[in-house]
Amino acid sequence: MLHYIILNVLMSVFFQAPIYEAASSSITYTMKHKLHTWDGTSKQVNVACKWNEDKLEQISVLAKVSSFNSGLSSRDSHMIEVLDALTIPNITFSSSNIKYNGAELIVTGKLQFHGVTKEVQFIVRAKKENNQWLYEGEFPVLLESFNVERPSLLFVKTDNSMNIKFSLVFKNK
Amino acid sequence: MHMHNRFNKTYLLSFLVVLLLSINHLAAQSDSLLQQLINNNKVDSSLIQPPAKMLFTQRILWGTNGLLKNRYSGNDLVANRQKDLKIRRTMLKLHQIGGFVTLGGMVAQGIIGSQLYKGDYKVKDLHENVGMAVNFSYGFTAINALFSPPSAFHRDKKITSIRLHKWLAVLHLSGMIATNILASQIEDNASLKPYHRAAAYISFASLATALIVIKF
Repeated sequence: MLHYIILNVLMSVFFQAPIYEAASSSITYTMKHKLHTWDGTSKQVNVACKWNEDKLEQISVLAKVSSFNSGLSSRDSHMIEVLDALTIPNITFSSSNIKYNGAELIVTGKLQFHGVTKEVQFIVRAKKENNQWLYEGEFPVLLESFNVERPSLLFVKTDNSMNIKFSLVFKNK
Repeated sequence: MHMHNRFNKTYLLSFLVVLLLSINHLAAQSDSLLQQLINNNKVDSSLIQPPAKMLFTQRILWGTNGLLKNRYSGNDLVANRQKDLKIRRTMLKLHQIGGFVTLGGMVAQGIIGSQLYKGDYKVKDLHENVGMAVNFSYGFTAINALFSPPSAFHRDKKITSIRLHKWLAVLHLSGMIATNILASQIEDNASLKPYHRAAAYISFASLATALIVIKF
């Protein structure tokens, strides 16, 4: 028991978990309507995580729907409507399992989008550059499987598939 | 042998209990991580109030002191704003339908108008009736855009497709007004015909462009 306490104290003194760099991180969605594709980016991504030395063990991510900016207010407003962002303001992801495979991580977890929770799995590429860790990945989301009514313009609906791309940066202390 | 089997069963059962507890513990840990991020707000308060910047036509109805400020029963601001956004969507759909109908009417009017211009006076009444119908659908289309509840955001800084759409709206609205004024004066002054036609063409071209530039 004493060994365990001493080890924990030493760990907390000598090892400090990487710190999340919100200013350098982002999540981007890509959607498609007939003849054109667009992106919306959120630079207000909240992250909480658990580290085992310099290995990411668990992660939870939250982004507000209203923080996504596609460069067109009317389009963003339309997204607010279809995603009911007034009463379902957040999109969250919480990992349940992270497997390491070289520089890649196979992440499984729960994605809550439009109030619907589904399990998703995706590959994350981890890169260490200078003093920071960069975690990048992407995965598709089918709007209708999350009970989202696809937005439409001129009576043509957008594609059902939306791609989510993320880039999270952590800095070693 | 019997003892050995019992030991194996006990071992397996203990292992399963530990495994289940670990999974539960892991799930609880991941939930607690997420709980660190979630605040207690069930709504996005930044979206309850419409943006400060809106068209004056929208302000008349939907502004803080607008005619419809106490529009729905009760003081549930969230429910009110949700209704606003639903009305907005319906009005913008009607705006799109109206735009297409008006454009179709303008094409028909162009064909009839050119016959009249060539001296076929049989179509004069038809030209006037179609003109009235185009004016009506144009007005309906404009009302659904100008008086719709404001959007959730007003943060565009660059030239966007919506901004171009609005600038073109100024052009086709001016064209429509000019076309109508000139039409009412043609009976007394036939030399205004080419100007009437030019104003109508400008209205048509700017309305068609306004439809093309818009994108989701």
